[in-house]
Amino acid sequence: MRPTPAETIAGVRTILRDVVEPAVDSEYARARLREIRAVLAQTDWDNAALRLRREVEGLRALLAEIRDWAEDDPERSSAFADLAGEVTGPAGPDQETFSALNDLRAAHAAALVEAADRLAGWTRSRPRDESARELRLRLIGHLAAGPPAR
Amino acid sequence: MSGTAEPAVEEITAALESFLRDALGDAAAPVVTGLHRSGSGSSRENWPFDAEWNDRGERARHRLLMRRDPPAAVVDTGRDMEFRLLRRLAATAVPAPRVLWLDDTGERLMRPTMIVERHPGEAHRAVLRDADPLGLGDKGRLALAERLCEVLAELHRVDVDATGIGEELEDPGENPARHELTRWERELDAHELEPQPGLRLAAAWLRDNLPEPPARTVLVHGDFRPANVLVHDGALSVLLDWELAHLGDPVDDLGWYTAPVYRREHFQPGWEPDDFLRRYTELTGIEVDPRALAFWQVLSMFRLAVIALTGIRAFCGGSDRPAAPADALIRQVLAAVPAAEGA
Repeated sequence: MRPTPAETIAGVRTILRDVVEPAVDSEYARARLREIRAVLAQTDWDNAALRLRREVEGLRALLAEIRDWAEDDPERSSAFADLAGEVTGPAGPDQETFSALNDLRAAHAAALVEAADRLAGWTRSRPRDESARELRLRLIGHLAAGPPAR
Repeated sequence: MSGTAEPAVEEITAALESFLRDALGDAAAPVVTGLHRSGSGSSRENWPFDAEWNDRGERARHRLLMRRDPPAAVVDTGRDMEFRLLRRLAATAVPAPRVLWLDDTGERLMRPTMIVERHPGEAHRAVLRDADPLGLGDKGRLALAERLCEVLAELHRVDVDATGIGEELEDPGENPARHELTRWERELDAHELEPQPGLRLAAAWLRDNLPEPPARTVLVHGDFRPANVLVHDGALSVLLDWELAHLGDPVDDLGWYTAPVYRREHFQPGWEPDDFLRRYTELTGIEVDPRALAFWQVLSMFRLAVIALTGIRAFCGGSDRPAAPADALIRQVLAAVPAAEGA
């Protein structure tokens, strides 16, 4: 496939810089044009859908980690029981369109928000449960690292 | 622009002349020239212009700036509060813009607007970096970096009670850290387009690691950084962008200034964060607790991420300010948490 999405965007950015910008009189419009070029450069156009799929897989892995942590202890298991369905989630990230993948990502993210909220409550009510605090830091660490590489 | 037709510059100029005539009196006969929209400003639109009017028998020319609310502001703050704060600051040593008039409702100038003096100089977010976009030279950049620290100390030394500033701004309550975190969590609630587990985890961590309240509540600028100062003749002339100003913990501004995301913009060999903090303590007497600083650094980046999400919502709603996904910034917020744990 030529041009690739990234090549198309790179070419468009060059035209905006070399052809369009010099012909724009308005200071405000020139500033917006520079922002547009910068924003276009911030997306990995060739791999956006692949990256989204990896994000979905990463979120599923985090939800599974929370489920495993909860199932390790009867009290936790009971407290997080109603999250089990969310944590198990849909069958898998086999969606074929960007939109379907994005919806799945949003659903997993919502489940993780709910789990994180529950985890915060658990941590506060049981300050001696070091494992909960450690789990939260692990989740933060995973999300800080970004989606897992293939 | 959300589909709303913008009035022509000529129309805004006429409205401005009428507004100035009412403010100054018919005898002043104000004339506005050169009104145009500048490229800067995200929370407010900036429209520089010149105005002439009669004053005590003489026709004088004034360099002014119209700061106008955009259709969708990235930061929603009361401009009347900002206006009153800047009025109070005129009596202090803080180099703040001089405000002149306010149309708080937008009834006269089509949008809520304040008019301020336009100061000479240039702002550039990379002013301290090796690229040296304002041509200050190594010594000039170091001097500016030190001056920034002095101005921040000056700001935090302002007596908010004696100046009346305390009456203009919201009381942050018993713990300013809790107050600020709550404020930005509410902003996140209001502006996120999709669930943000990373930011929710960070917020929970922040909630569980609040620092002790400060010994003294100060005026916090809220966006104190080199990008927000005008440099004229090689020196800092005015501190700009007061939309996020609030009463709070002095370490709030320090966390913002030293946040990892700004490290390369704000520091250089010979002027590292430790130098900045040491000088700040010399000037203010405020000892900076490392754990409190780490908390405020995380909260600062959390705040930045929420502001980015607000910009994304505005862009997706039709704003003319383009916005990219905030993923990388959110990852930086999260990366700061383990570091703060070890502080």
